[in-house]
Amino acid sequence: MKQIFSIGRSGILTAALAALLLGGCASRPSDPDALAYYLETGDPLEPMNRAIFQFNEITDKVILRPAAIGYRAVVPKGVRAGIHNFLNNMKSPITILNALLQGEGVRARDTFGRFMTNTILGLGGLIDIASDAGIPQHYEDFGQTLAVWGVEPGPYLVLPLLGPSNFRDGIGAGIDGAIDPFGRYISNEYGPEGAAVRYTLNALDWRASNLKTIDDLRNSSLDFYATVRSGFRQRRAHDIRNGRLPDGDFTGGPGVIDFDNMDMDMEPPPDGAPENGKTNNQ
Amino acid sequence: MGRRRMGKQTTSSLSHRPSRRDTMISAGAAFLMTSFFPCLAHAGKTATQFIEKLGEEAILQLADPDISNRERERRFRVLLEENFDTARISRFVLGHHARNVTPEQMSEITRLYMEVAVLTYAHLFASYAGQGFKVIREVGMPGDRYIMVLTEIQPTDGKAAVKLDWQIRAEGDSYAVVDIQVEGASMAITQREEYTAVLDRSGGDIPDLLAQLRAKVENLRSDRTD
Repeated sequence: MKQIFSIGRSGILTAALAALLLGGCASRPSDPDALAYYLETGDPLEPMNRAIFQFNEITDKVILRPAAIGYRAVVPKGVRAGIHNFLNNMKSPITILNALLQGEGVRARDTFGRFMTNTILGLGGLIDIASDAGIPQHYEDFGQTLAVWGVEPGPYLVLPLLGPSNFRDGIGAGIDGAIDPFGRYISNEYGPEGAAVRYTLNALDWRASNLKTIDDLRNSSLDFYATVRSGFRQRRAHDIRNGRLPDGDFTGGPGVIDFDNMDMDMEPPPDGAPENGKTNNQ
Repeated sequence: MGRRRMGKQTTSSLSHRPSRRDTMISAGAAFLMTSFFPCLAHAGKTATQFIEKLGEEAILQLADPDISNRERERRFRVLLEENFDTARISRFVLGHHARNVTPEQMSEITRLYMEVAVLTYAHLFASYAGQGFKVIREVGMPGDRYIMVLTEIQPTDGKAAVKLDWQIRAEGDSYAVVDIQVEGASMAITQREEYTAVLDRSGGDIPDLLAQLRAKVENLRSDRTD
């Protein structure tokens, strides 16, 4: 989902705007429990989001998933790995820029090192030499940068073809698309077709490497929409914290959940605000 | 709030068969624990050892290529029942609807909920290819009711390790898993959101939830291979 999300080009803003104009709002519940849940999920546009989600599900089942299965069957593993590495390498400038904007110097340096290593020694990014050399891989985007700067996520948003997002991250993806040097280069040299090829390859690569995971999640879920929304929100919060909590203790999940006081609000605030690491006080 | 690291590092990785080395490392870890943290000495074992043992057992019993998927599921079910606080988990995932559920309904929800997990995850162990499983560290204070055990699964194909954080409930000397966080996403929170969505839509109709769960189990059963 993260990768799908990061594909976003400038069209994403238009999509978000159109979605807003077309959208309906879920009514704010009066029951206190239902209200707490309503606030926790951050999804006031649920009816519209569910409709777009259904559209994306059909697109996936009819086009993307079969294409990903075909891609795995036809394209040899080594070639797929090369394409994956090449696409990833092209995401480096966005990560470097956003890591710097977030004050994450080590992450910027790692990513710069990876980029230089893989571009020069790894045949333009086809071979991931940097991973073999033990340089860790990071992804940063402008939605994460905005979050680090204190911008709230705003309502959850399902974007046509792009999948789960929210207002902040939708705008972030638009900005990433506008400043991405590779995006600009591809558009200048090959026009919109070039951008479409890159988008399609990214989608194929992501879907093909998550075939089983997504199938299992979808098959076991009673409400796949809710599963994806929850997973997206938690995963995003984890990525924004770069897998850390302010106290440095946990690798980035919501921390200790209180399984004894079931009626308490157990959801951490979005994006790991300082009061996040809920501890268990007995 | 006073939560700090225990500073314990163990790097026992699980091999396909239970090796003497693992036992020795566990023993070594236990020795370190008791010498550096004498306050823990009363505990028969640590949460870290509990998770290491669970990982070892899971691979030993479930990754066996010679058993049928049915047998794999049966073993998975036993492991879940013995090591997870299934009643507490299923109560949690019902969220605010839990208080409208009768004990009979609750035990059936627990059973069906676990069955969905069994049918979804047991077969994953059939393709086990020697991935390493290691405990990074344990987070918690002596006497805490909940302890987090941070672990990593290292794929064999050189891909990045997958982080799994286990939330353990300690009751005296015994431990039970209440949640697993996969790369920062809690299964309990995700499933509570899923169940709450279903129940909110039906106006809290528990028999309807049970019917949906039964249908889900049937579907998963008919899809799987023996």
